[in-house]
Amino acid sequence: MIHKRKKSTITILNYHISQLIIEKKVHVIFLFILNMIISGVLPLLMVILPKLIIDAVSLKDYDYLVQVMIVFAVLITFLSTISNFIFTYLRAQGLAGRMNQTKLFNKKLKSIPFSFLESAQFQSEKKAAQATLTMGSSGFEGTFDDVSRILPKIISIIGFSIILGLFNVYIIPITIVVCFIQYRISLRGSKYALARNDELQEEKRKADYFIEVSTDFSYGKDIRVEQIEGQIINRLSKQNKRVMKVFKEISFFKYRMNLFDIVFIISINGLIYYLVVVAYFSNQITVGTVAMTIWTILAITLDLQFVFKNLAKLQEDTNYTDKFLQFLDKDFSNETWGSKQINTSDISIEFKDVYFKYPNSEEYVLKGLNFKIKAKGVMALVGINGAGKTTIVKLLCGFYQPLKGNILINGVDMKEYDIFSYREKLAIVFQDVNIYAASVLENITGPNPSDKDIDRAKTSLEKVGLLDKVLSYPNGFQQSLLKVIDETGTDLSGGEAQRLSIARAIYKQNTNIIILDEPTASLDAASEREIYNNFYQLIDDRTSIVISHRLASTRFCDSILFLENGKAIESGTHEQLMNIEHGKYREMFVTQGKYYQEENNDEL
Amino acid sequence: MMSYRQKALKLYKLTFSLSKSFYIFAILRALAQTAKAFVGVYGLKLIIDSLLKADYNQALISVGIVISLEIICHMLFLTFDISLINRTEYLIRRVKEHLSKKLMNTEFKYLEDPKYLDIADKSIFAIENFGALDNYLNATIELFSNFLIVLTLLSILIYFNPLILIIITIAVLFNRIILKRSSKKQIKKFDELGPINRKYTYYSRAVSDIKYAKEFAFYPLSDLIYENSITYLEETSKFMTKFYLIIAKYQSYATIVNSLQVALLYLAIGYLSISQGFGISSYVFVTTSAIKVSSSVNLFINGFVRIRENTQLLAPIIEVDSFEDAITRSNEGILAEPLHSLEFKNVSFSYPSNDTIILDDVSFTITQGEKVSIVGLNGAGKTTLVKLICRFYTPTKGQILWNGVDINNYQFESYINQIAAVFQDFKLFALTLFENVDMSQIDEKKVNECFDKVGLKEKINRLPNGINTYLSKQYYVDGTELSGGELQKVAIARAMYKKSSLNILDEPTSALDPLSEAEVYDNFAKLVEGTTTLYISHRMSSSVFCDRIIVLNNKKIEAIDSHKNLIKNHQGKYYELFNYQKEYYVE
Repeated sequence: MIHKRKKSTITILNYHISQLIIEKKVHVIFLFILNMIISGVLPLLMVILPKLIIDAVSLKDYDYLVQVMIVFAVLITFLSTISNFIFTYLRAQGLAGRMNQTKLFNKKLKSIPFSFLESAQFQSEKKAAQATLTMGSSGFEGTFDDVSRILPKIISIIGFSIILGLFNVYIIPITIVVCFIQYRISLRGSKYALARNDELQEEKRKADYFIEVSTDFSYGKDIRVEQIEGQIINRLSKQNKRVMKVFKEISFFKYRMNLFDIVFIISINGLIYYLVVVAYFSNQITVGTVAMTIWTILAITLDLQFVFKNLAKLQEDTNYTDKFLQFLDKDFSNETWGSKQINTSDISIEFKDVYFKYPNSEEYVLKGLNFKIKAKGVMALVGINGAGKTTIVKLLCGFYQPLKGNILINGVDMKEYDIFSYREKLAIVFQDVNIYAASVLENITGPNPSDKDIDRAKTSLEKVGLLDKVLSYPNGFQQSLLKVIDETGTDLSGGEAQRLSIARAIYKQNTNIIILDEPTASLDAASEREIYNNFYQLIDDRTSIVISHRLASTRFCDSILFLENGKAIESGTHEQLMNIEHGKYREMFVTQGKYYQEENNDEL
Repeated sequence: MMSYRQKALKLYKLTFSLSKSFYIFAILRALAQTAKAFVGVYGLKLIIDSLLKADYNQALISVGIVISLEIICHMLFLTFDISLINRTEYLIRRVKEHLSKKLMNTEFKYLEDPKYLDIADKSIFAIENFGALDNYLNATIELFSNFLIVLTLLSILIYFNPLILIIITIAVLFNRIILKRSSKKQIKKFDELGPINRKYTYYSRAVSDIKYAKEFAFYPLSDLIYENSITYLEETSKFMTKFYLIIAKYQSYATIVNSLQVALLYLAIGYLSISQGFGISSYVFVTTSAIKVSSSVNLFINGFVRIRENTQLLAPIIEVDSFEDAITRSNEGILAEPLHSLEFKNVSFSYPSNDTIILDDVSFTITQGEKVSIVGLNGAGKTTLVKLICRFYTPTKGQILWNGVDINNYQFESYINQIAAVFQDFKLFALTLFENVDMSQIDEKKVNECFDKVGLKEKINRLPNGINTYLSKQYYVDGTELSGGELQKVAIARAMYKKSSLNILDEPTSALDPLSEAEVYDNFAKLVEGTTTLYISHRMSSSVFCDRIIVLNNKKIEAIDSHKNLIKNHQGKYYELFNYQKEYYVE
C-alpha cells in the first residue's frame, strides 16, 4: 500500500516533468538541479567557516582571519544571491504551471456532458480535482515549492554526514535509520489526513455554500425582507464547527505522530553528545571539533526533520494533483452517440413510448410519452408545472437519453446521430436567460465575429426589436454588458435579456429545429405582441416547439400537445382541443382567458 | 485611501476581536520557540564548559540536562504549534463568517453598486485564491517568534560586546531601507493587478458554472468565455511572474547585506577572541547566538514583508468591514403597526450611481384591504417602487408614509415584518423545503398549509423526505431539483407564511401554468382578506380583479383607477396593453 503511494508520488513528479517539457521549459529542470547544488552547499560553508576561525583564533593569526573572511563574504554573497533568484524564478514557474493546468481543467470542463453537471457526486469530484489548482502553497504549485526546498537539503545532509563520519562512521547509518522511522511515522499522519480529506472537503463545501449565499448580492433582497441573516450566520457557524471538528481530529492525529520526535531527540542528540563527551575524555578530539560536531548534528537534525516532513507534504500535494489527473483522465461520457449526420433541412421529430427519470431519482418524469411533429411543423407543449415539458427539451438537447423508448429524428433513433452535428441544427431559447460580460455583439456571435457575422447579428437584433436600443448605447454594438468587467457596462432588463437570447437563436445559421421555452415570460404586453407579430419570421420555416404558459401563443401552432404526468393526454389543433367537452386544454385556456372574456362580455 | 499602517492595524484589530486565543497561542508558541533557540545556543556552552572542567560525570549530567530541556521545549513547541494551526483555520473561518455577516447587514445600495461588488469579490478572492489570510497569519506567528528570539539573544550579546550589536543594527537599518522600497514597488504593481484579477475570476468561474452549461452546448458563447478565461489566465500568470521577480530583486539586496553581516560578525568575534582572549566556550556561545540572531532578524524582516504583501491583498476585507451597517439594522425607531395606509408623496428617485430619473414625482395612496396592481412597460420603474417600499433605497425627493409616518422612522425589523414580498428574481436556498419557508422551523402545520395553498402538497408528499427534503442535488445526494414554476410556488408559500399586513408580488406567476396561476391568485385573495396586496404583472388579466390599477408610464403615474374606468379610456396606455393580450383570447 505504502509502496503504491510512493510510486504515485513519483508518477506525479514525472507528470510535472513531462508538463515542463511540453511547455518547452526544460531549463526549469536544470534550474532545480543548480538550485539544489548552490543552496545545498551554503549551509556546509556555514559550519566549516567557524572551524577555520577557531583555527585562526588559536593561531592568533589576524591576516589569516581576514583572508578567510573575505573569501567567505564573497562566496556566500554570490551564492545566496543566485540561489535567491533561482528560488523565486522557480516559485513563479510553479504559479505559471498551476495556471497552465487550470487551462487543461477548463478545457476538460468544457467537454463534460450536461447530465453530469447536475449530479452532486460530480460536483464533489470536480471540487476535489480543482483543489490542487486553487491553492498557492500546496497542491500543484506547492509541489514546486516542496521540491525546490527538499533537493538542496539532500546535498547539505550528505555534506553534514561526511563531516560527522570523520568523527564517527557509525553515526551516519544510525541517523538515517532513525530519520527513516520518523519519516514513516509522519507519513502515517499525512495518510490519515488524506483518508479523511473527502470528508473534510465535503464539510467545507457545505460551509462555503452559506458564504456564497451571503456574499452573492442577488440574494440580498430576500435575505433582508425575510430577516434571515441571523439564521444563515447560525447555520454557517454550525457548519464551521463541523469543519473544525474534522480538522482538529486530523491535526491531533498529526500531533500524536509528531510526538515521536522525542524518541528522535533522545536517540540521535543523546548519542552524539555522549560520544562527544567520551571521545573528548579519551583525548581523541579537541574542543574545536566538539563544537563543530555539535553544530553539525544540530544542523543535520533540523535538515532531516525538514526533509522528511516536506516529503510527507510532497506526498499530500502530489495526492491532490493525483485527484486532478484522475479527473482529467476520467471518461465522462455515459451516453453513447452514433456518428450519423443530418443531411436534410426537413426534420421530423417523434417520441415513441419514451420513459425517463433523472439519475438519483425514483420518480419517472416521462411515462410512455408519444407524439410526432412533422417536418416544419409547429407544435405547442402545454401542461401544468412539472408535467415534463422542460425534461422533453433536455432530451431533445441531448443532455440526457431516454431510459426506455426512442426519440426518432427523421425516423432514425437520435442516439445514432453525432450529437455535436445534431446540435448544430438546433436553435433554442432557454427559459433561464444568461447574459455574459462581453460586448452586445459577442453575446450573440461569440468571439471574433467577421463583418458578415456583424451584419447578421444586426439583422437578428432588429427582428427582436432591440436594434434601436443597442444603437443608443455609447459604444453601440461594442457596448459591454454587465458591470463585472467593465464598470461602464450596461445591465439589461429582464425583457431586454430575453430578447437578446431570442436574437441568439435567430443568429444561429443553418438550423432546422427551433425550441422556444417560455420566450416571453418576462416581456411586457407590448413587447410580447411584437414577438408574436414576428412569430413566423422568427421560426423561419423550421420544425418548431413552443413552450409557453401564455396560451395565446398556441394560436400560432399547427398542433398542440397537452401533457399531464409525463404523458400526452390531448393533442390536436387549437380548435379541435377547444371542442373537447371538459377537455384539459380547454379548461386551461378558459381559465387564463377568463378575465379578458368577462371584460368582453361586459362590453357587449 | 488608508495608509498601510492603518490597514495593518485595522486588520489586527479585526482578527484580534474574532479570535483572541489565536494571539495567545501565537505568543505561547513564540515563547516555546525562543526557549528552544536558547537551549540550542546555551546548551552547547554548558557542555563545553563541563568538558573544560575535565569532570566526566558532570559532563554527562550536563548532557542529560541539555537533552531534557530540548525535549521539554520541543514538546511545548509541538503542543502550542498544533493548537495554533487549529486556531489559524478557525480564525480564517471566523473572518469569512464576519464578511458574510457584514455583507448581509450592509446598506442595500452597496449591493447594486459595481464598485462595492468588486470589493466584496476581491475580499473573498484574496482569501480563497491567494491564501492571503493564511499567509498573513503565519507571517504574524513568525514575526512574534523571531522577535522574541532576537530580543532574548541580543540582550545576551550586548553583555559580551556592543560591537556585535552595532554590526547587527547597521544591517537591520540597510534591510529596512530595502524593505521600504520593495513594498512601495509591490503596492504599485498590485494596484495594476486588480482589473486583470477581476476578469480572471469572472471568466474562470463562468467556465464551470452549471447555470451557463445549457447555453454553452448550443452557442459559441462557451468559446467566448473559454477563450477569455485563457487570455486572462495567461495575463495573470505573466503579471505574477513579474511581481515575483520584483520581490526577488529586493530580496537579493537583503541577502547581500546579510551575507556581509555574517562575515563581519565572524570577523569581529574572531578579532575579539584573539585580542580579549575570552574562552573557547564563550566564543562558541557568542558566534552561535550572533548567527541565530542574524537569521532570526532576517526571518523577522521577511515576516514584515509577507505581512505587508498580504495586507495589500486583504485590504478589501477592511473596506468591506468599513461599509456602513444599514440604518435598517439599528433598533432605533418606533414599532410599526399593521397597515392602514401607505402613501407615496411626491416621490422622485434616481439610483445613487447615476442621475437617470427612474421615478418622477409619484404620488398615490393605498389603504388597508385594497388590491392594487401596478402596470407599465418593462423599465417603467415598477420594481424600483417595490425597492423603495422595502427601504432598500431612500427616495431622492418626497416621502413614503406608512400609517401617516415616514417609513424611515420605524424600527426596521418591525417595519419589514409587516411586508411579505415575492421578488421577480426571488432566491431560495439549498436547505430543506421547510427551512426555505420558515428558517427557524417553528410552525410545521402552517408551512404545510401554505404548501397546500400554492398547490405543492401533492408534489411534496411524493418526495422521499417530504418537507424535509433538501432543495438541491448539488449539496445533498437525496435532495431534489424543482422546476422553475415549482420554485416560484415555494417562494409564494414563503410570502404567505409570513404574518404581514402588506403583500407585494412582483411578477409572481411568470413561470406558473395558467391553472396554478389562477389557483395562486385565488388563494392569495382568500388568504389576504383584510390585508393589502400590491401586484406587479405583465399578465394584464391579473389586474382585472384588483380594486385599483396604477398605470406607470414614462417615470410618472399616468392614471390610477379601477379596471372598469381605465378600459374606457381608449387613448390610455392601459387600454392599449390590455387589448394586446386580450385579442388572443377572444374567439
